[in-house]
Amino acid sequence: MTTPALPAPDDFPINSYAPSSKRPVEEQAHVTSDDASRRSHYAILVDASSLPEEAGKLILQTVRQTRLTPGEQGCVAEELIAHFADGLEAEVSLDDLIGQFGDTKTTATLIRRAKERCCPKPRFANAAAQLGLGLIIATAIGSAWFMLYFIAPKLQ
Amino acid sequence: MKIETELMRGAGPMAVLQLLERGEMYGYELVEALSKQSDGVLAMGQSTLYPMLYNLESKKLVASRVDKTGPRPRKYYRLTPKGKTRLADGTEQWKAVLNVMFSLGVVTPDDIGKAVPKGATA
Repeated sequence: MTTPALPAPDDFPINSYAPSSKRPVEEQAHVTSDDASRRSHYAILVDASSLPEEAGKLILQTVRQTRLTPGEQGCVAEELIAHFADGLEAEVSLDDLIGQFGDTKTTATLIRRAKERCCPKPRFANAAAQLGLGLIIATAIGSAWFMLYFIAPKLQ
Repeated sequence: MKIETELMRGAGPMAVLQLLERGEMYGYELVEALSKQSDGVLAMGQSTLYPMLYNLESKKLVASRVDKTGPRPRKYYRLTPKGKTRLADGTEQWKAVLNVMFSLGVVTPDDIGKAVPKGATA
């Protein structure tokens, strides 16, 4: 699924944007670029999917609760969107689809666990890299502060 | 009839692997096939199916690809060689369990005949 182009129309104030599948798809894609940058990728995918509002909410809630990386959340959202869309195309009622979905929190936890099992090494490497980068930045700031306030005055 | 969670934990992945042996399938296709071919006994929602598929993927029993040519992107799952081996092992184990159940009288050949839904393929 390609994310719709996000023009920045003057007639569509940023704060008035609220995800709602009751609005036509064209209007849903009618989001300002500022607004789009504030919304997560998966939320934009859900808004652009033209699924009924309840289904969209369920997907958003589940994907948010997974607390996965943005890329993984996007993949999960795409799959759930496709599932609901396929079900509706097969003329299964929305109530049945929502009923079959199960508890969002349990689903999110199970998805998170399964995804963590799927790729534990990159996740660990990413966390280690972030920690290392944080330490380097902290050391650099500390050294600069030490140089400015203790060494530089003595040299003068 | 709903299957208890513990039993489903063993039967669900085997059923999914068996379905994928016939060819690659996407999530909704799997849900439908499971529901129809098991007469609803192994019917599962997204909350069960997708975590199960991700688990199978993490164990490298299935692999996936995203097809973006259709109206919406679809993730297709297929059986890996490791998955085929697991399916063969699992089948043998299920046969052994079934044999024990026969000898214990828990199930009879008549029960099996009744349990096989119409339209199910071997």
